[in-house]
Order: sequence, then structure tokens, then C-alpha cells
Amino acid sequence: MRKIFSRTGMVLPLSLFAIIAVLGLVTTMTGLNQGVRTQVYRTNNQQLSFLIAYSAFSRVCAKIHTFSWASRPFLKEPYIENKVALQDGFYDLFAENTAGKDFQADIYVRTTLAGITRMFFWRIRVNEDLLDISNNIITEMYATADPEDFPVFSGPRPIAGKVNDLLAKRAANQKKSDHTASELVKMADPESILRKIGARVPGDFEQNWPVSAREESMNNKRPVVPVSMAPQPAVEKPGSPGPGQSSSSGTTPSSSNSGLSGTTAAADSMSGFNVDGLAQQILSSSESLLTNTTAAWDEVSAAGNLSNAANAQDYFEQASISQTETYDALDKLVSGVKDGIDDAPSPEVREALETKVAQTVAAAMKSLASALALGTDHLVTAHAGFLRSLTTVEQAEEAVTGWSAALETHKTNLGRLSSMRSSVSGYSMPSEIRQTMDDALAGFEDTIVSYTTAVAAAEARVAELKALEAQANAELSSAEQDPPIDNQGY
Amino acid sequence: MLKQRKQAFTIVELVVATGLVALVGITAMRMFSSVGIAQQNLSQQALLQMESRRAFDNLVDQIRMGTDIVRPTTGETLPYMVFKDVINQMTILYLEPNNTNANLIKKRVYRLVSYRGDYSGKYQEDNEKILLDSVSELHFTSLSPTSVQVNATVINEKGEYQFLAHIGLMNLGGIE
Repeated sequence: MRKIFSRTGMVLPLSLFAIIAVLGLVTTMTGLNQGVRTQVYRTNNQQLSFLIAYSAFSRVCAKIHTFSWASRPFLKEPYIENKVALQDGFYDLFAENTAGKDFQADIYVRTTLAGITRMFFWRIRVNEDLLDISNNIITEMYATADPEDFPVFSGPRPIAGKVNDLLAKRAANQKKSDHTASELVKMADPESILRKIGARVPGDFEQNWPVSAREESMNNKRPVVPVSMAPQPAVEKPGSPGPGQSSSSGTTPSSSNSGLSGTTAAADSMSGFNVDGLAQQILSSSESLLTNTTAAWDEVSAAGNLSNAANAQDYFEQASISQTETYDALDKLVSGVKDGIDDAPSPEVREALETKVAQTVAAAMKSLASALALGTDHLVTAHAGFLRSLTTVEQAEEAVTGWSAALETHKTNLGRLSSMRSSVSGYSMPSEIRQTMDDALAGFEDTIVSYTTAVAAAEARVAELKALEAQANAELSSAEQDPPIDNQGY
Repeated sequence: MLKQRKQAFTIVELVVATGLVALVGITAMRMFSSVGIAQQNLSQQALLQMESRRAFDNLVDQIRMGTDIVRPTTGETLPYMVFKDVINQMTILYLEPNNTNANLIKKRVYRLVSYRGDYSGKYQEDNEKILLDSVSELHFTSLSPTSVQVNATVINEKGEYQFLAHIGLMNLGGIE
């Protein structure tokens, strides 16, 4: 024995050590690889299970599409499929009407794949709209759940209860979250966002480590121009607080955070308010008003008087329509743009928006005042002659009534324009625009003075004609009272 | 007597034998050492991958539970993300410097923090979670109002591991 050891030396122990080391390495690496494989396997299993469940869910949706909501397979009792083989696994399906909710359904799918059982849940809402088949079925809620909670025909529905609770909480937080989101979307630095949400603001590195180019690129991405995410107005906002959708009673799904970017378009929020579109409409209608009014008075001048100008009436009618459109659009612009200006993402955008609105209002006021001035000029020059041409009290009273009505209309319009002027007075605008507005208002006031004068003149004419009529009547009656001279004897 | 003298080693034999044993021993030791280092590296990389994968799965799960992306807006790329969840609470995923790991790796390393705001206006410790411990780079790109692409680089002493995932939010309830 001693002989053997003395001849082999260190070879045997070294060989043994090497074998043990290699075995250890192999064991460790096998264990680690097994861990990675297990993770990949479970992830794969999860994905495949979801695909199986989604197939089952899609089959239910297809059945609703194929027939109709009224002929759905779970109309009177739950629709059940058991142990349906798919993709080397199988699924159980249970679909039923959501308790207490019309046009809603709860779909439970339990999958089993390679010995692992999972459960998926969808609550859907059905909009039966023949014109929009792409949006018929909307997912109100999706969740994974404990497979033990898979419902039986007359058993409890714990998931449905939990979902109801979640949706109730969602509804309760809807306004707060919309408001917070509308503020967060305008914030450019993460610190402000963290403070707004209530999170902890992190400190900096203790040591001055070099910043890599990749990290620099990470922090220097240019943010997209924020989009206003103001909550939708009540008339457009669906009642339901579902995920980006409408009420639990089910009406119309809402859009998600979409919108326009750019300066003035920043005022275009989810409410659908369009500054550019309105401004264009105002300029177009006010220009039409001025063109038609000018054409009408040209016709009158050519014909000599209003009654002889056959085409003038058409122009006046068109001008009247354009005037109404201008006022309505102006009201809409001035009242609607306030939210957009308040929520402007930057002072530059705010200033650009204010100037654009002020310019539009000033241009429209100028056109309105110019169109009105044409009529006023005619009134000033012609009303005296016109009144003199009237021979009866009724004609004069008609003039009084017509001019008084016009006077009231002009006073109302002056009030509307003054109110608009006040609304935009604080806006950023050049002094020329302010002057244009003031000139337009002064033009309106001149018109009112002219009409007041004309009405007074007409009333005076009425009084005059009444006096003449009274005198004529008195003469007539006195003539009737005096007996005629009988001259038959002559 | 002569037989006994023949069985002994000469000084030359001893020197040669010792030299050979030393040479073989040193070679073997170096080999074992390099195998050990390689094993350590492989183990650390495998562990990094495993831990990163698990952490990234948590991140993906959390984003999937969201319903509406607030930031980044569509088309925007940011190193943080804000989204609403199913009960309309606001969650932010953001990076904070991880000084312990930075001192270890001698580089700027962050941890990815998730905080869920509950509208109380105050910081609640329970609402905060650490999703990834050693991140060197992170991008969130919103490709649509309900999906986001996440690109993260996880780092340790032995290397980096990069993820790229396109994650659909919950309100799709389907495949993204």
C-alpha cells in the first residue's frame, strides 16, 4: 500500500479534485439554467393560457356579433362550455348577463395547460349600432382571478362582486383623475409630477459619476408639445366611468387622450372646441354680411328708393343670415376659448391664443359696424324726406314701429359687442386691435343716436299727421253739423 | 546494500520531479482558477438575467394593470411614465439614484420606483415599490393611448442586460 502511494504521488488527489470541481460547475450551471428555463416555461405557459382564454372570449363575442344581443346564447341562462381542447390545453367557459346591468355580460374562462390552471375574466358592454359594427363590444373590465372562483350555475359570483367594487371606486375617482391628468400632461419636469402625485422626490448621486452618452440621451429627449386633456363637457361626456369609456348604464365610449398639437390648436381639447375653425367661420360670415349689405344699398341707390330695388331684398336677407351667424359664432368663441386660455401649456401659447381671438373679434366688429354704417348713412340722409312723404298716421306709426325695433336690436347688439370687448380686454393684443374695437363700438353708438333721432322724428311726424287728421276730422264734422243751404227756391 | 542505494533518488531526480510537480500544479491551479472565475461570471450573469427577468415581469404586470397612459403622451419618449389604473389612481414609474450600487459599480445606477398616488396629497410609504434595483437606462415610448414600449438596461458588476417590451394596457383586455 505504501508502495502504491509513493509511486502515484499527487496525480490521484489532483484528478479527484478536478472531477469534483467540474461536477460542481456542471451542477451549478444546470441549476441556474433550470431556473431560467422554468421562468421561460412559466411565462410561455402564461402567454399560451391567455391566448387560449382570449380565443374562448372571442368565440363568445363572435356569437353575439353573429346573432344579436337579443339572441345571445346566454339570454335566459348562462352559456357554458366544458373542457374544450385547444393548443395542447383546454378551457372551461361560463358567460352570463351581468346582474342588474342591461347590455352587459360577464365572461369567465378557466384554462388548463401543462397542469397549470388559470382564470381570466372579462366584463363587456354591447352597443348595438348598425352603423358602427367595429365598436359593438367594449371591454369594461379585464382581470385575472383565482381559478377556484370559477362560477357554477347557481353558485356565488365573487369576482363579479369585486369588479363591481372596483368600478364603483373608479367612478368615484374619475373626476379627480381627469383633473390631475389634465395638469400632469402639461408638466415638463418629473419633479413637479412627483410632487403633484404625492411621491417622494429623489435626491442626487453622492458622487459625481460621469454621465454616459446613453443616459444623456435618455434625459434629453424632446418632450412632445403637451396636449390639453381637459375633461369633456357634460353634454359630451358619457355617464360611465369605465376604462376610457362610458357609464355602466352603457351609452357611448369616450375617446382617449387624443388631440392636436401646436399653438392655437392647444386650445382644441377633448371637448372638441376648435378655435381655428370658429375664427374662420366668423371672418367668413362677417365678410359675407358686409358684401351683401353693400350690394343691397348699391341696389337701393341705383333704383332711387328701397321699394324700387327688387334685388335688394335678397341681399338684405342674406346679410341678415350672415349677421346672425357672426354674432352666434362670436359668442361661442369668446365664451368657449376661456378654458383653452386658462389651460394653455405655456405663456407663449396663451399669448398667441389671446391675440388670435382678439384679432378675430376686432375684425368681426369692424365688419358689423361698417355694414351698419351703410344703413345708418342712408337713414340719416333719407329719413326726413321719407317721413315727409308719409301722408297717414298709420304709415308714420309703421315707421316708428320699424325704427324702434331696429333701435332695440342695435342696442342689444351693442350690449353683446361691449360684453365681448370686456371679455377680451385683458387679452394680449396690439394697440391697433383695441382701437379697431373701440371704433366699431363708437360706430354702433352713432347708429343708435341716428336711429333715436329718426324715431323721434317719426313720432313727431305721427303727432303731426294725427293733428292734421284731427283738424281734418274737425273740419269735416263741423261741415256735417252745418245744414246745407236750400237753394232750390232760387 | 547496493540494492538499497539504487532505490533512493538522486538530487537531480528530486529537482526534476519537484519542478515537474510544481509546473503541473501551477497549471492546474491556474486552470481551476480560470474555471472558477468563468463560473462566477456565468453565475452572476445568469443571476442578473433571472432577477432582471423577474423584476421586469413585475414591471410589465404593473403597467398592464393600467388603463390610461397620461405621460408619455403618444409619440413621446420619457424616462418616466404616469398612468391611471383600474380605480383611477395615478401611478408613476420613475428612476432614483441608487448610491449603494453606484459606488459598487462605479457608474451612475438607478433604481426604478413605482409610486401609486391615492389623492391624499401626502406621501404614503406603503404605496411605494422598488421594481428594478440597478438600471442604467430606461425609456418609455407611448405608441398609442393604450400601449407603451419599454426599453430598460439592467446592470451589475459583470455586465448589462437589456429588455425591450411592447406592453398593452388593461383596457384592451386583449392581445397587444
